[in-house]
Amino acid sequence: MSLAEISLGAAVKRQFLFKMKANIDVYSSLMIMQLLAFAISYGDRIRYAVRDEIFLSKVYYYSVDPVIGITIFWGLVTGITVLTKGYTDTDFTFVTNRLSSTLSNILFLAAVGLAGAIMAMLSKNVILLVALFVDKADVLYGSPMTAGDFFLGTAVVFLYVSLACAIGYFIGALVKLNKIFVFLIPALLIGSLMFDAAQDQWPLLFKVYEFYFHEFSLAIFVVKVLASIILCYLASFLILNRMEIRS
Amino acid sequence: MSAIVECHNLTKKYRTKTVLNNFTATIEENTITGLIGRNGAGKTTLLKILTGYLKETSGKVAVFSERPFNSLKVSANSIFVDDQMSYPPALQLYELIEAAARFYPNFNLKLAKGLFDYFSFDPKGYHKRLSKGQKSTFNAIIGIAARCPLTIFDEPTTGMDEGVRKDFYRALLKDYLEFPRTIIISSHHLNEIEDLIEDVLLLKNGRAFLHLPITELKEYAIAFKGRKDEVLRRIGDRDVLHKQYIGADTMYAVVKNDFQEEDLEQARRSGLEISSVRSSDLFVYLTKPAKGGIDDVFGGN
Repeated sequence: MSLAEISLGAAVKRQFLFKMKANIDVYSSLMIMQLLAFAISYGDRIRYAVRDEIFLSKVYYYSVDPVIGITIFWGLVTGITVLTKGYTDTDFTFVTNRLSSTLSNILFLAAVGLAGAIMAMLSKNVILLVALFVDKADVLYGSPMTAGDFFLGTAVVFLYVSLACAIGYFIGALVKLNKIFVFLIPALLIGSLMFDAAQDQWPLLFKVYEFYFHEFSLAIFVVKVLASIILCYLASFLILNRMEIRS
Repeated sequence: MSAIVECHNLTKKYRTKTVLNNFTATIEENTITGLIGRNGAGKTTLLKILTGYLKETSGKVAVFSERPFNSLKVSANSIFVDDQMSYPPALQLYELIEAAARFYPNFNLKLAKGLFDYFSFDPKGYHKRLSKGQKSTFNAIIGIAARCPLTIFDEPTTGMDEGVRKDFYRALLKDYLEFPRTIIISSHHLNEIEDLIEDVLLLKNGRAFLHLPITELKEYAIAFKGRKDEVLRRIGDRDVLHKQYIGADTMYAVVKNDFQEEDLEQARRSGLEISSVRSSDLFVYLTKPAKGGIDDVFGGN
C-alpha cells in the first residue's frame, strides 16, 4: 500500500481549520466576558452634573478600557486552555506531530485574538450608541475615530492580546512539564508582590507592566511585544516537543 | 512483503518501572497481528510508542522505516484506536466523522456512514453522552473507515455487547479483505480474536515471548492425561506449562509439542489420553506468573 506523504504546511492548515470549528467555546467565552466588561464599563461611567440658572447639564464619561482589559485577560486564559489535556489529546486523535500542533495552536490563538481585538475596538461604537439612545445624549465629545485610528488601535490591542496568549501558552507548557507550576506560578507572583512591599520597593510586576504598557514609541513597543511573543512560543515548543501524549 | 514495524531491543522505563524490556519484533505488511498479554504486560505502551504518543527510552523502533515519535508521516498513515480517544466536545458525532475524513487521506466516508447507520448512532449526538460500549463502537468505526496503512486497535471491544463485538470483528475482516493493510489488535481475550488474526505476538514481562502464526500456536502444545507416573515418564524433563491432578492418581499435564508421532503412539498405547490445547487456555498457561496460581493465595487447601 502506498503511504500518504503530508507536508507540515498541509497538516498545520488542516489542524487550524479543525480548531476554528471545534473550539467554539473559545468564542462564546470571549463574547460573554466582553459583554460583562461592557456592562461594567457602562455601569461605571463617570457622571456628574453642572447647574447654572437655566440649565442642568449632565456630563458622562465613557470608556471601553475594561473591555480591552478583559479581552487581554481572556487571551491569557485561552492560551492556557489550549494546552489542557482535553485539547492536546484531541490533536493527537488525528494527524499531527508536536510541531504542527504548536504551529496550529499559534495560528488559532492569533485568529481568535484578532477577533477579540476587533470586537473590543468596535465596542467603542456600541457605547456611543448606548450614550445616544439610552442616556439620550445631545452632544457627543471625544476622540473621533478615523479608519486609521481604528486599525492602529486594533493592531495595538491585538498585540497585547497576542502577548497574553503567548504568556498563557507558556504557562500551559510549564504546567504540562510539571503540575507543580499550577501552585508555583501564582505563589511566585504573589510572593514577589509581598517581597517588594516588604522591601518597600516598586514591585517587579509593575515594572513588567510598565515595560509593555508605558511605551510611547510605537516601533519599540512592536519590537518588545513581538520579541516576547516569539520567545514565549519558542520556549513552549521546546518544552512540548519532548512531551508524551496520553501517558 | 516488507516490514512495517521493526523494533530492536526496544525498552521503555517509567521512573522505576521497566515496561518494555529489550523488545524485539518485526511486523510484516498487510497482516493482522494479535497482540496478547496479561494486564500490565506492556501492550498499550508498545502500541503508543508505535504511533508516536510515547518516546522509547532506548533501543530502536521504526514504523514505515521512520522513528514514530514526532513523525508526521507515521501520524498520517497510522491510527490508534482505544476507549480513551479524545474528541472536541463541541462537535456532533457526524461532524467528528467528517473531521476524521479530512485528516486521513484514505478515509472511506461511505463505509463510515454505513456503519454509523447500522449501529444506529444519532448524527446529532455527542460523543461524551455515549455509553462505554457505544464509545468503543464509534471509535472502531473511525478506526476501520480511516483505512490507515497501520491500524492499531487497543482493546477495541471494551464495553461492547456480544452482538456488537461479532459485528465489529466481521466488519474489520471484510474491510481488511477489500482494502488490505497492517492491523495490530490487542486483547487479553485470545479466543475472541483467534479466528481473525494471522499472527500472534505474545508479550510477557515486556518482551516478545512468542511471535508465530496462529495456526502454529494451535499446535504449540499438547496435553497428556492419565496415570501420574506414566504421564511424568512421557513428558520427561520438558517444561510443564500446566498441570492439574484429577482424583488421587490421575494427572493432566500440558507441555510443548516437540514429540515424534511414534512417541505419541506409544503413549496412547500405554493408556494416556492425548489432546490438543485450546489456544486461549494455552495463552493463560504461558503467561501465568512464575509460581503458583490463584489457589495458592487461599492457602492451597
